[in-house]
Amino acid sequence: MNRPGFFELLWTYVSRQYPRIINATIQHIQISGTALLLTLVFCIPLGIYITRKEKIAPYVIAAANVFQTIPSLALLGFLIFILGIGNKNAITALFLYAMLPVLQNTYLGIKNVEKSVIQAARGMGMTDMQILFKVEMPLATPVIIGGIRVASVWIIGTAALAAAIGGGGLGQLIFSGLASIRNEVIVAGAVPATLLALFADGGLKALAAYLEPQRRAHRLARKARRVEGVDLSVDTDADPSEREPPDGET
Amino acid sequence: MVDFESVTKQYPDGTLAVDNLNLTIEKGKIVVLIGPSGCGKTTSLKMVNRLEEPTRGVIRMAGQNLLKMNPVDLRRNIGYVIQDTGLMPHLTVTENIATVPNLLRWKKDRVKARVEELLHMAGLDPKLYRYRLPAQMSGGQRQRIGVLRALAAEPEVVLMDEPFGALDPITRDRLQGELKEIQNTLQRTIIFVTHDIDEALKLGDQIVLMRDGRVEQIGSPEDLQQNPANAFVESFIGEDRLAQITPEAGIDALVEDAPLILKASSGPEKALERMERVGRETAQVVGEDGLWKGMVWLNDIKNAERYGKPIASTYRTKRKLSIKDARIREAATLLAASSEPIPVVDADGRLRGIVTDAGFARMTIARLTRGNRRRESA
Repeated sequence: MNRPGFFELLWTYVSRQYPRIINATIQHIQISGTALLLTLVFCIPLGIYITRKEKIAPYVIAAANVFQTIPSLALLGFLIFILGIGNKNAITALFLYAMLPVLQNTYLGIKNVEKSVIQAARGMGMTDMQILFKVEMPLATPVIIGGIRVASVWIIGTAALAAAIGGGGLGQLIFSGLASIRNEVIVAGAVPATLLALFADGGLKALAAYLEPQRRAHRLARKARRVEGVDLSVDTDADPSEREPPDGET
Repeated sequence: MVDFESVTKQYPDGTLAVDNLNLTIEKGKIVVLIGPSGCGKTTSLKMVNRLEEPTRGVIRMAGQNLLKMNPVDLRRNIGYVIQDTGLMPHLTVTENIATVPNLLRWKKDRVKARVEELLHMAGLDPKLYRYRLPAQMSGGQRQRIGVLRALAAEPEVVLMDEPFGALDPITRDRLQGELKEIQNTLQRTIIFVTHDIDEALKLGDQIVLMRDGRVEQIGSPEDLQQNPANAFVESFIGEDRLAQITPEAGIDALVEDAPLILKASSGPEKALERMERVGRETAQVVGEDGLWKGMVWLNDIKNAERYGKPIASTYRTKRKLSIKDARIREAATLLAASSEPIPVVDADGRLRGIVTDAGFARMTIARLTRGNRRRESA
C-alpha cells in the first residue's frame, strides 16, 4: 500500500482546513498587532520622557531589559497567576517582551540628535514641542523604526506561544500538529507565521527608506516639476554632490 | 538698538562669565565681540536671545526690556547663526531657510518668494539648490544657507556666533566679503562673536574686546589699532601680531579650545560614547580639581573597556606643551612626528587648550592672505 507523501498530506490539509488557517492567521495578526500597538503607544512616549530625565533613564531601560531577558514561555506561565489564561495574558506578555528595542531606540535616537541642531532650533524660536516634533522625532525616526522592526519580528514569532496558555493564533495549529505528530499541520501554522514576520519586517524597512530625507527631497523636487512645470533640464534626481564644484569655484 | 546695562552672568559654580557689562549697540552696525576663549563673548551674545539669562542687569532691544518679553517670540524676531550651522539635516535648503517665516505663519507664497529672493542674493541658483539637503553641499554653501536662514524673516537684529570659524581660510575670506556686501544693502544690526582678530578688524564697525568677563576696550578698528587702551589690547590687536610669529615665539597664537574634554571620573563606556558621537580619535581628560590628567586615544579606551580597566590606565602624558615656555619650533617638531593634537598646559597643570596641525596651517595661511590684503589696500 502507498502512504501519501508529505506534500500530498499538506495539500489535503490546506484544501480542507483553509478557513481554519485563515482564521488562525487573522487571530495571530490581531494578537501581534494589539501587542505591537500597545508597545508603541507606551514605549515611544516613555522613551522620549526619559531623554528629559537622564537620571532615571538607566533604571527604566534596565527594567525593560529584565522583561526581555526572561524566557518568553516562562513569562507567559508567570502571567497566568495574574491575568489567567487566554489572549489578554498573551498580549501583555508580548508587550512586556518587546518593550526594550522600542524604548531603547527611541531614547538613543533622540539623544543622538546633534546638539548644534537643537541649539539652532531653540535660538530661532521653536518651542520645546516644536523642537520635539519638527526636529528630534524626524531625526530619530530611522532609529525608532529600527527598534520597531526588531519588536515586530519578536512579537510575531513569540505570539505562536500564546496557544500554550489557551490563546489563539497560528500557535494553535503548531501545537496541535506537535501533539498529533502531523507535520503538515505544523507547517500549515509555521509558514504563515514566518511570512507574517517577514512582511512586517520588510514593510517597516520600506517605510524607513521612504522616509529618508534624500528620497523625500527627490519627491518634493519631482512634485514641483510636475506642478509648476519647472525646467525639466535641471536634473535634481542625480546626486548633486558628485558634480559639485569645490566651494571656491562657485 | 541693543543695550546692555550692568549685565552680569554668574554660573551656579561661581564662575563669573560676564562681569558688569555696559554696552550700547547702534542700529545698522556690525559689532564684533572678541577676546580669548572664556572671556564671556558667547555668553553675552546668548543673553540677547535669552539662551542664557543674566544674573543681574537689564538688556534692552529697541528700548524694551528683553527679560520681560516671551523668549520664543523674542527669538523669532532675532536672526541667529552658529558655527556648526545647525541646519536641519532632514530638511531641504528651502525648508531650512523658511524655518522662521513658517514659525511666524507667513503665507506660503510669501515664504516662497522670500526664499527665492535670498538664494538669488547669495548667488545660489534656486533651480539647482532649492531641493538639496545640507549634506549635499560644501561647508561654505551650508554656512551661506545658515546666514540666509537667519535673515529670512527680516529681523532687525542678527546674532552670529563664530559663523565662519569652521571654514577654511579662503572660503572664510569669501564669506566675510559676502556678509559685508549684504550688510551694505540690508543695514541690519549684527552682533558678531569671533576669536579671530583679522575677522574682527575686517568686519566690525565697532569692536568690543573682552577678557575674563570684562570689557577691555570698545572702539572702531582704527581706534583699537591706533589707541590701544592697555598692554593687553595692544598685544591682542598688535598690528603685526601674526607677522611677529617666528619659530622662537610663544605658542599662544596657536592654542585653540580642546573640542572634547572628558572628566577623569567618567568610565570607558561614557568616554567611548562621547568620542564616537563627536567623531574624535583623541580627547583630553581633566580631573575634579581642574588639573589636566592626560590625553586619551579612542583605541586605547576601546581596549580598556574590553578588559574592564579604568580610563586612567590609558592616559598619555608625555607629549604636551607648556603655555609658559614652549616655542612654536617645539610645536612644529611634535606635529611633524605625529599629527595628533598636542595638549597645552599652564604652570599649575591646568589644560589651556590644544595645538593642532589644522590650526597651524590656518595660522600660516592667514598670515599669507593677510599680507596680500594689506598690499591690496595699500
